[in-house]
Amino acid sequence: LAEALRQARAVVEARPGGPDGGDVDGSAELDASVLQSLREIGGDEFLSDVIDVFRVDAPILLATLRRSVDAADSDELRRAAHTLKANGATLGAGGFAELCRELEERARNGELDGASELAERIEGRYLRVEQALAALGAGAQS
Amino acid sequence: VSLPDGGRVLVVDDSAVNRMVLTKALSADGHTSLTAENGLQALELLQAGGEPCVDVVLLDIDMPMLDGYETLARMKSDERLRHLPVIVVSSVEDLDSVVRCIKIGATDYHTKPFNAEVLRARLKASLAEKRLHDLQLEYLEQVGRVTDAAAAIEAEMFAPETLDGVAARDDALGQLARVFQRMAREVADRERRLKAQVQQLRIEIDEACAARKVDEITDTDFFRNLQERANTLRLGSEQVDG
Repeated sequence: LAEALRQARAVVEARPGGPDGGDVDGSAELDASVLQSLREIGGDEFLSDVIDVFRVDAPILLATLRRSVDAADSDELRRAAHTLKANGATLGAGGFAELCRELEERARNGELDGASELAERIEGRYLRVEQALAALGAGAQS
Repeated sequence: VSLPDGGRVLVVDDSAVNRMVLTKALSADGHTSLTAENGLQALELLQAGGEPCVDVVLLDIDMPMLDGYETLARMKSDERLRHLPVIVVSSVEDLDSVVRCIKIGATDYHTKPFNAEVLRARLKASLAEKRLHDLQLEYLEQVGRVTDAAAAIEAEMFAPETLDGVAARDDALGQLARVFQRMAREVADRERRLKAQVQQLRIEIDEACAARKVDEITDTDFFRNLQERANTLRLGSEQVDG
């Protein structure tokens, strides 16, 4: 797990700035109403726990995404993109989830041309989501 | 029928995030939950033991090992599981998936992220449906016990306590069971009284027989002659003593 996390973080951090990897704007990455509905279910501590699980799972799934793109394994790619999409949507990361949905759709149709670029955009977008979530956690603690 | 609020819910989802959110939402509403990470795990849980251990299943579609469609199909082809309400909670949003799940037998279909209010309402309805089903099953089982009791009465092998559970019902079936028990107990009491009477008659008959035998012996010339001789001997003895 530690190795997967390290690899995924290395992949994400190696991305240059760009449309999905540039400046971080937390408010644009996360839907406040979705986060609020999670707070209503279990409070701040629960939201923090969900974010922790998301931040543990996502790098593993991103590593799977990258591996399946390289191996042209459309089934594994579709499943990883699907789970990332669902997890992102659960935390209100709509833009991230939308990119994952697009990759899932392509994988379902076996259209792997451009999948590598899309995976890169997802990795970059994840970095922004992750930073927004981290900021959220820091805000809650302060 | 009054229904308790809390039910037992199986959450089947390969995403730890989604399992976590769903189970928390369920516990906040007073439900208890079990979790499975894919369809195979879910079926193993549901098929273990006698009766299924849950009232409702929340089922994801896209999962490894065994997806939601196949899990749902296997549940609906299993006699013991087909009555369990299954609410699909999936991020597969296309209409074909919704139609497919409903056709296989899903109770409802929600897309992720789920709306807590809508899911709460659907769960409540599904729990009521499941409990009504459970009550119907229990009723049929108890009707079976009453018909078994009728056969046992015919065979004179009925034990009234076998209907104690049914007799505790406050409906017509319970009344029928109580009537069976009362009749059986009355018959048993009558039998006991008759046996006691027969026993008493036997004693009286035996005593009458003995008395008649005594009469037969004492009411003879030989016995009277013996008595006279005995009296004579007693008188002679008294004169000698005097």
